[in-house]
Amino acid sequence: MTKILAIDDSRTMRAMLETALTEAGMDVDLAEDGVEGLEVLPDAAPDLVITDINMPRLDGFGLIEGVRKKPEYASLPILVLTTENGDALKQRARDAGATGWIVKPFDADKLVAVINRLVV
Amino acid sequence: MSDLRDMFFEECDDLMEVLSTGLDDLQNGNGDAETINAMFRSVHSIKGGGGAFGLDRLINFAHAFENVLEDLRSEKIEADPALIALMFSSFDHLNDLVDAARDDNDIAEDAGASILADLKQVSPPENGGADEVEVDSADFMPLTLDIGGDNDFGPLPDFDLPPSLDLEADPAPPMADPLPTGDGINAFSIEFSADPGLYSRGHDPALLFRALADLGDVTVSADTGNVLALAEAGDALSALSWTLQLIPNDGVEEDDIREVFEFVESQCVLEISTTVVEKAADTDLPELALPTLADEAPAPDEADTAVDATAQTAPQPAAKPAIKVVEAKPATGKKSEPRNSTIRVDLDRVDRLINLVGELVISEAMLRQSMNELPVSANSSVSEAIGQLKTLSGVLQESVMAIRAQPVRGLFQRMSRIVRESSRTAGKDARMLMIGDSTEVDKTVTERLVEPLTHMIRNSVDHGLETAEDRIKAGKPAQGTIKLEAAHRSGRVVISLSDDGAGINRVKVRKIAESKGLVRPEDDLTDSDIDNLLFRPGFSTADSISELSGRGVGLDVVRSEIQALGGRINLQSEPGKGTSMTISLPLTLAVMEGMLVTIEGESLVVPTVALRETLQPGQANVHEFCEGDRGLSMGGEILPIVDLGEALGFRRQLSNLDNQALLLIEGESGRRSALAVDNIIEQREVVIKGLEQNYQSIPGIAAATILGNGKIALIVDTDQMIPAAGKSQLSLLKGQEHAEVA
Repeated sequence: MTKILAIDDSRTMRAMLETALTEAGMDVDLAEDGVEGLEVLPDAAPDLVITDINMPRLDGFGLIEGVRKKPEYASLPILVLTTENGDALKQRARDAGATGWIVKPFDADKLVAVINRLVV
Repeated sequence: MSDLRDMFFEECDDLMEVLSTGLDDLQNGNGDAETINAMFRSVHSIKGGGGAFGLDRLINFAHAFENVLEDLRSEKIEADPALIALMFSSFDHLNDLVDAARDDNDIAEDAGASILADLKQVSPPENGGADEVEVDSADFMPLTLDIGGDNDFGPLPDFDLPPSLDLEADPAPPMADPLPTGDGINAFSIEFSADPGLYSRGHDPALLFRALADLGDVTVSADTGNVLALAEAGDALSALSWTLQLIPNDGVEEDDIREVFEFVESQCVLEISTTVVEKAADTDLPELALPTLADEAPAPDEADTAVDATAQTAPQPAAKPAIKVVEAKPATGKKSEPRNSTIRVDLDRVDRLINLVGELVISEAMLRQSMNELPVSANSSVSEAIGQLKTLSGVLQESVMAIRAQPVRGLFQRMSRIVRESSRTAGKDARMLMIGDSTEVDKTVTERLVEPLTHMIRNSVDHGLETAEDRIKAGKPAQGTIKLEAAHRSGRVVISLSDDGAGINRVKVRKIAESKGLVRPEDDLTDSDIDNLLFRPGFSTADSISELSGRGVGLDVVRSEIQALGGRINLQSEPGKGTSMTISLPLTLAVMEGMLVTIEGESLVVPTVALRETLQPGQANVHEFCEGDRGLSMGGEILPIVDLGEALGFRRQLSNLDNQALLLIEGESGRRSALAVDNIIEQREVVIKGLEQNYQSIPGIAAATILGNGKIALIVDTDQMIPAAGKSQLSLLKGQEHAEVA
C-alpha cells in the first residue's frame, strides 16, 4: 500500500487529503506543520510526502530542506501543495528539493495520478 | 463532502479568531513578525479551503487581503493606523463572506467592493490585475529547455533553447533496437538527459519512462557517452542521457508527454519531436517493466556502454533506492494517530458525560450519607476509601465541566466588531479594550451571551458615549473606550462592559420613568434605583428611536436573557465618568447554586440567583389583607408574602407564619416577594435535571434535582412566585392546576 505523509496546517485540507488518498487505497499519515512532519517522518516511513507551504513553526520549504538533509530521504518524492502558482515560488520549492507541486484546490484524480507517477 | 464543508467553516472560525487577535495586537503595538505571519496563514488557509468549495468571491477577496499581508510580512508596507483600519474592515467583510458562504446566502453584489479596491490599491495584484486566483488543479509551466540554475557541472551544454531547435550538443544516438521496416506510423522522439538536481529531488528517470509507457509503446535507449568524463569529475549521476521513441496510443498528444515531465522540466534537457517510424512488428518493450530497480544500481563507472534502460537504470544518489518494490507489508495495525492537540466531539456526547458525572456525584453523596448511618468508624479503611471517592468524583466533575468551557475570546472578538460597526453608524469614534479574554465559560453560555452583549454594546455606544466634540469639551480623549472584561470570581464568571462616556443622566431617566408611569413623582429613589429603572420593561431613554439600539427592545430584555442563564446583571454609573454593567454568571448551566428548603417534609430548591435575604417574620411586620393575602413590611415597603406550600398545592394556607422562614426573592422585573417555607436547610450546588424531558412541565417549578439521599427536590421557578402588582397571590398560577407532588 502506498504510504503518504500529508502535512498541512489546515485541518480541512488534511481531511480532504486523507479522504481523497484513502479512497484511492493509500495509507495516509498526517502532520500539521513542518516540525511535526519531520518528527513523524521516521515512523510514518512514507513513500511520498505532500506538504503545504505556509505553515506555522516550520514552513514547507524548511520541511523539504530538513527531509533532504537526511541521506535516507534524499530521494523521497515530495509534492508541494500550494495555492500559489508563481514561478518564483516553484523555483524556491525546487531549490529546496521538492519533487513537484499540486495547485490547490486539488483534483483528487489528478493528485492520485501524480502520486502514482512518482512512486513505484 | 458536507462534513468537510462543515469542517472548513469551523476552521474558518478559528482562523478568523487568529486574524482578529493579530489585528488587535497590531493595533495595540504588540504585533511582531509572527503575528503577521499567523494572520497571513489564516487568510491563506481560508482562501485555500474556499477554493476547494468553489467560493470564488471569498477566494478573490481573501487573495487581495493576503497580498496586503504578504507585503506587510515582507516589510514592503507598514502597519500604520490607516492600514490597520483597512484590515479591520477587511476582516469584517471576510467574516461576512464566510458567513454568507456558510449559510448559502447571497451578499450584495457591491458589498465590500470599496474595501477590495482599497486592498488592491495598497498591494496591487501581480501581473497588473491579471492575477485572479488560478483554479486549475494541474499546473503546466511553459516548457523551456532549461537546464536549471543549479547546474554546477561543466560538460552539459549551457543553453536554453526553444523546444523546436535541435540539440546539437547531444545528437540522438542510433536506436539501439532498429525497427523492422513496414508501414510508416507517427511517433514521438524524446531526448532526455537529467541534471543531478533531478535525482536529489526524488525523481527517477525510470519512473518517468514508466509513465510514458502508459501513453504508448516506448523504446528506450541510453547514451553513456559522458559517463567516464563525468565520473572523473566526481559527478556521474547525470552522465546518462536517453533517447526514447514513443508510438502513442490513440489520442495522445505532445502535451500529454510534456505532462509526464512536468516536474522535471527545469532539471533536465528535454526535446520532443515527431517522427515517422516504420511500423514495428513487435517492440522489445511492450511495457516498461522495472524488475531491476529494486536491486542496487550499478556503479556509474560500470555503465560504459550503451545499454537498454530496462537493464541499466540511473544510479541513486543515496544508498537506499528511491524506488521500492511494492511490498506486501502486513498492515501495521493502526494508522499513526494524527498528533492533534484537540479533537472534535459531538456536544451531545459531552452533555451525556456531564449528566453521568452528575449522577455519579449524587450516588457518591448518597453512599456517604448511608455510611454515616452505619456503625463504621471514621478512621476505617471504608471511610477512607469513600473520602477518596468523594475527592475523585469532585475532580472528575470539574474536569468534565471544563470540556464544555471555552475562552470568551471568540465572543469578545465578535463584540469588537459590534463596537466598530455601531460607532460607525452613530458617527462616534470608539475603540474596544478586551481584558481577560482567555477566561473560560460554558460554550452554551458564551453563545447565549451574544445577543445581550450586542445589545448592551449598542446601548453603550448610542447612549453612553458622547460625540467627539462633547468629549473634547469635557476634557476627554476624542475616542471613546468600551471595555469588555471577563474574570472568574468566587465560582462564577463575571463579565463587565464599561464605557467612559457621560454616565446615566438620572434626571432624564427619572422624568421618562415618571412619564411612563413606572415611578411616581413623590417616590424616594436612590441613584441606584434610578439607574436600575433602565432594566424595567418598556423603558427607553432615547428621545428618538435611533438606528442602533432603538429596536423595540430595552435593557429589560438583556436582563431577562441574563437571568435565563442563571445570571445577574448590575449597573453602575458615575456622571461624567461613564457607565458599567456587570454580568455575573454560573460557570455552567448544568449546575446551579440553590437554597435547600423543606415544606411539609418535601425538599425544594430556591435558586440563589433570585435570593436576596432570608429572615424570620415577626408579628410586627406581617400584615394581613383581604382574601388572605399577607404582606411583609420592609423599609417602608410592603412585599407580598407567598406561602410556597400553598402556591404549589402542598397544603392549605397557613393561618400563622410564626414558625415559617421567609426567603426574600427578586424576579426579572425587579419586583420582590417573600416566600414562606417550613425550614431552610442549607445552600448547595445542585445538578439541574430538566422536568420536561422526564416528566412534564409543572407551573411554578423550573426543574428538579436529585439530592444526596436519592430523593428528588423540585427547583422553584422564582419568577412565577412574584405576584404582579395588585394581584392576589392566588392568581400566581392562575388557570393552571396546582402541582401534585407525590
